[in-house]
Amino acid sequence: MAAGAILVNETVVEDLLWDKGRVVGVRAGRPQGEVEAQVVIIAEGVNSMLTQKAGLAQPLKPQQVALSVKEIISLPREKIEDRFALEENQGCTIELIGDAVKGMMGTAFIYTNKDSLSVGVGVLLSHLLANKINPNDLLERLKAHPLVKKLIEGGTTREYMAHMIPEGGYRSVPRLYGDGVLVVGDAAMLVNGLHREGINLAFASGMMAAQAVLNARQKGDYSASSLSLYKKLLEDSFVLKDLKKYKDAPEFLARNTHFFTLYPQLASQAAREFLTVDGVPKREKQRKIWQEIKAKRGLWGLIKDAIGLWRVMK
Amino acid sequence: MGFNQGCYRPVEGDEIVRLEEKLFLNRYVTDKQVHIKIKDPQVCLQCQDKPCTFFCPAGVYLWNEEEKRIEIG
Repeated sequence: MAAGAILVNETVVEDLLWDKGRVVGVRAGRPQGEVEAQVVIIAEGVNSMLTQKAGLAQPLKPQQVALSVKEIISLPREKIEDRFALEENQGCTIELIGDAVKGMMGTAFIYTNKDSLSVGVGVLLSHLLANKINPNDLLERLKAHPLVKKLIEGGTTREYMAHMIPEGGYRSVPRLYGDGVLVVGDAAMLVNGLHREGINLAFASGMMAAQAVLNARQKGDYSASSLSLYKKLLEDSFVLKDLKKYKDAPEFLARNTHFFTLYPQLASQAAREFLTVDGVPKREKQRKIWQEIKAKRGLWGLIKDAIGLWRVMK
Repeated sequence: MGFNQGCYRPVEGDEIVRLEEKLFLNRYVTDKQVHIKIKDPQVCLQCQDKPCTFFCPAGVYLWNEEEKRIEIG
């Protein structure tokens, strides 16, 4: 702003302006809403309508986005610090997979804020559709769980909100630039779902887009080939390096749902068996656990899963 | 031990917050005109599961069986 930027709030950009196949500005939904520009940086978030209009992205598919709902539940600060064993200015996050989201690909989460908790669920949209589940019902089910119920007891729900999260990963990243146009952040699918990262990728992509635009300005050339520097910067940074590392993980995990159903269940079953003091010798317990695992997944299944997981995570 | 052993369901007496009450917590500035339109209502007739009626977090879409169309609002 100090450098001379003009901020226009509460205005929807409805379309791009074109001239001979290149983007030359935007059309906003207000009188005299046409704004011309040498370059447009699209930062519209997950619902990438302009990116699609720019011809860079395809319409989103249900397997490329997670649908997340959450509540802000207010609680006195002392209660939060007590319940989550926190010192002043410490926070806590709890993420749950498995039955907490009915074995779908996704997580339930509880974050502590200063005077409130964020409690929510986020699940791959294609899995919600396949199981015909309403995300709010899933959230209420989570809140009723004995473990969660104790943590939120006495709290008041202040807000309820929903959001989509682009989780398609590397293979779903759209074309990142065109003639006179760049796309950053969620609109560019720059989210690392496995590591729960997105804001940092959005920041970084915004800075790299700015670098590419400054470079283009020096050359006086805003063509796609000039702006391709943006992609190069992303590729040389953690942003695309990390997404590339996990390029096959989203599809692999979405297809192998037993990672979210069978394995969490076997893990808690094994822990229960092993930690229950009932006079049964530990070696016998170990054998029982191993037999249960083999019965449910089979030796070949285990080997296949281990290799598969290594391939997509390494 | 069966798979469902660790599962839980809200039982009677559990306090379930209704969706309408939750939505009431949010302050809206609503437009006079509905901004969501179904381009081709014919598609809804062929649509088997009508997923929009159950996945929407705000419950915006309702199937009107009498009028055979999706209600928005």
